Amino acid sequence: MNKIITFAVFLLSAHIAFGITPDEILSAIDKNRNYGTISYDATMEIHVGDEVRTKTMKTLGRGTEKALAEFTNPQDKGTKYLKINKELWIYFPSEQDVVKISGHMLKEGMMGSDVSYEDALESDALHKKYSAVLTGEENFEGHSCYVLTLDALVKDVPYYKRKMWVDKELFIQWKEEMYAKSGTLLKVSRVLEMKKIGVRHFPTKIEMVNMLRKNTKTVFEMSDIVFDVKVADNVFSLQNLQR
Amino acid sequence: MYSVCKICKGKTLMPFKKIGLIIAILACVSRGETSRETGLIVSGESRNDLVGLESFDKNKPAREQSDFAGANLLTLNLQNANAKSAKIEGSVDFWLLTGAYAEAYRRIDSTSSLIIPGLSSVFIADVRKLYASLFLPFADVSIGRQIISFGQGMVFSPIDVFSSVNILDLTLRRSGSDVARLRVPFGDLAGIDAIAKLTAKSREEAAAIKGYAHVAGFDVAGIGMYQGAQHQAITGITFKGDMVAGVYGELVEHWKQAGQRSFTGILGADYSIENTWYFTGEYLYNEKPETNDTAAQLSILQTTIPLLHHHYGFLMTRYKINDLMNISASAIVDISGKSGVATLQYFYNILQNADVVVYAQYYRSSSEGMLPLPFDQATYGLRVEVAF
Repeated sequence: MNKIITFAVFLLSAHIAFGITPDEILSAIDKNRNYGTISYDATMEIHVGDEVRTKTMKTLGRGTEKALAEFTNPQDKGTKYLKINKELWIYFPSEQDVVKISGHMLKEGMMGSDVSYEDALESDALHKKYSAVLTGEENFEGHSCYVLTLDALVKDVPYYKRKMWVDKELFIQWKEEMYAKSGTLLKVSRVLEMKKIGVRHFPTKIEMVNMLRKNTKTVFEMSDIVFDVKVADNVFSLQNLQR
Repeated sequence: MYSVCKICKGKTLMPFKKIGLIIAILACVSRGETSRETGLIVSGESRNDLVGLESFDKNKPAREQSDFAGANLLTLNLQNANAKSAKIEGSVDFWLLTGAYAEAYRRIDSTSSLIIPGLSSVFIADVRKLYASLFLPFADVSIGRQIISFGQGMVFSPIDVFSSVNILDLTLRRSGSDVARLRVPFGDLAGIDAIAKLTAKSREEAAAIKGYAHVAGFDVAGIGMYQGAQHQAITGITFKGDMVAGVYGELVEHWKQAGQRSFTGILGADYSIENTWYFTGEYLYNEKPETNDTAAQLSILQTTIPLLHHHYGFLMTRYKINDLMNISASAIVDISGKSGVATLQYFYNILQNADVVVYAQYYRSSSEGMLPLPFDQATYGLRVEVAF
């Protein structure tokens, strides 16, 4: 009982000290991620030791629920990914074949990168899936940040625990650590570049490091970002995937 | 020398002058990959194999049991840049076979391919895809040579009678089929796919209709088909979903004249451990084996096998060393016929757009098996792939 009271006092004092609740921060992050439609070109640099492989793609998205990405680099040219909620299909142009990605493959790195299919598929609002505790404030690479620790409320999340460095004004996660249930650090992501597009501040260059692999990282950079583009209803469909 | 490249029929072969003209046209109209919405986008891949062949024919002296071969493949893909409402797509394979592969090919068909004098080489052009599509408001209509992938099987797919898998190809490529196709969507994840085979001979007519949907996390489809050449109707269902492992299958019933029925089915599963080990397995059951007079087509270009027995299997495991390298081992086996092919390969994405593959394949022969070779044979190959 004492522990509960102590914890409640800690939460209350944290609220008073920081002036904002952890749930409000999560909601602000979710609000920042919330958009109608988006289109962008992207470059994915996959670093393995000293070697770098670059993949390029064009992407269309509707909210965080639907996305269609088409690779444009020579080796993967015409390969398309269709994401609808938490399911993923890949179209292989050489064989004109659509393959549904099995659930166990979702932790696999997308196109050999450190970004897993599961990372790409994450579409739920954070505040619905995680409970958050505000553990402090830090200056991260010149940005004044809230430090937030998240614990999963449900099982169907890619990571059981997360630690985020959230910009106090823009509510961008400049850094994020992702943990397994065992407490093992799995991945670390860092925003390398952020741009103001219209009224929205949006991370345009992100680095993802898989801590379970040696000497690898992936840098994902977006360009020509346009929000609220006109997208036909049938774009996010199996029919269109095969076109 | 008896090599695997033994028979190659049913391919589209073009005279050399026409091929030269096609290349010239492509060079003129191609604008590369630009943001312009006109012209053609050309891409492709060069795949060059150097292969050592070893046959285990005890009746021959050892020095006659080894040979060398080369298989050089240039694939040119083209597509119109503005493909929003209509699309043309083509994919042409230009093969240059040398050594034992060329000799084996020449033995079978020396008239329709180009044989380069003095080089022991054979030049072949194979059009895998060449079709046009119109994206109408209510349906997509496509006409021409396309790859029709109706089933879920990676190696065995009894429902895929239009585009069969080349089981000797390391990447399990499929052949194209000349069809007219109509695809009508019913929502994002459901629709109808109807196909009619284009053929001059009425007895070879074929048509199929597939209805597909996504139900409770599973991709499911029902298929009806008629094959004039075999005088048979085919009905079947396919599925793919998750039950801890990824599971998929095809259950197919063949309806022949005079009320004869037979069943063919596959069950497959895939699983991975720690994003490092990957496993895929397929089992095929064939209720009514085909007769021995159905010839196998064995070729590095396209291999198709008749189902002469009841039980077939496929197993593959892949170990990922890192994101650039992996090792895989696979076996495709005619269990009843005691015949099959085992493949071991090491893959290295050595440079941006360039791969190196080192591989070995072993063909287990059997007079009645799926690979009717007179003796066992092994190949050891080095492949360089460059995409552009």
